[in-house]
Amino acid sequence: MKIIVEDNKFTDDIEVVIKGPKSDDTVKEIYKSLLYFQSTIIGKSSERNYNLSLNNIYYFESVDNKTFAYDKDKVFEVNQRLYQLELSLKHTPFLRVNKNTIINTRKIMSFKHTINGRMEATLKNGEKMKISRNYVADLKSKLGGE
Amino acid sequence: MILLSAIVYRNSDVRLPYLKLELGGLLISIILGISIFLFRLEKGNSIFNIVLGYLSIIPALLVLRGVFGTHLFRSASLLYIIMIIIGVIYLIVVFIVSKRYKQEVDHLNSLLEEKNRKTEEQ
Repeated sequence: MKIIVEDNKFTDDIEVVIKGPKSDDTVKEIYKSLLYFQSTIIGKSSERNYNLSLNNIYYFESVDNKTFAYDKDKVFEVNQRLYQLELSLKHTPFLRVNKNTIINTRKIMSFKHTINGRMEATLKNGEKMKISRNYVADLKSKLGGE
Repeated sequence: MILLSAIVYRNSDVRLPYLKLELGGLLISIILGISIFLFRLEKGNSIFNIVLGYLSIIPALLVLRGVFGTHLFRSASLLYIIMIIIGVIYLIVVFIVSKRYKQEVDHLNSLLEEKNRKTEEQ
C-alpha cells in the first residue's frame, strides 16, 4: 500500500482519495477510519445544541442514565446511550475502557498502574480514567498490539 | 475444612460436628470474598485497600480457631505465626499482581509511543 501526501499550502480543505477495489476489506477499513475525522455528534450544553467533531472529543461518560461528551475543557450532554455510541464508534479510535466510559485512544498521554492491579490512563487534558481489566485486550489491539 | 478436620481426627481422635464445620467454611469463604473485594476495590488509595484487604482476612483465622479450638491451635502464639505466614503470602500475591500489571502497562505505553512516533513521521 502506497501512502502519498501532497503538500498544498494554498488550501485549507483536505482531500483524501482512496484508490483500490471498493469491496476490498482494507479499503473499507481505511474509509471507516477516515470517517472519524468527518463525523460529528450533537451535544447539548446550556440549552444549546452544538455539532461536535469526534476528533475533539476526549471521552464519553455515562452518569445517572445520561451520556456526556467531554472535549478539552467542556462538557456536553449527548442524546445517545453509551452502548449505542460504542457500536457506532466501533471503527474509530474510541474504545470502551470501563462500564461507564468510552475514551478516545488518540487523546491518551500515558498509562499507569497501581500496586493492587488497577490501571489508569492519563489523557492529554490531564484527566485520569480507570481502565477495567476486561477491556485491556481490546485496548492493546486498538493501539496496534496483538 | 474437611482436610483440617481429618487432621484433627487423626491426631486427637475427635470428631468435629459437621454443621459447625460447614458454617465455619461458609463464614471463611465470605470473609475471603470481602478481602478480595477490598483488595481489588477501584475507589480510594490503593495501599490503604491492600492493608484493608489483609486486615479483613484476620477474622477468618478467628473463625478457624472457633471451629477447631485447641485441637488445631494448641498454643496462642500459633495464631500470630499463621497471621505472619498469611501476611507473607499476601505480600507475595501483591508483588506478583503488581509486577504483572506493570508489564502490561509498560507494553501499553510502548504501543502508545510507537503509535505517536508513526503519526509524527507521517
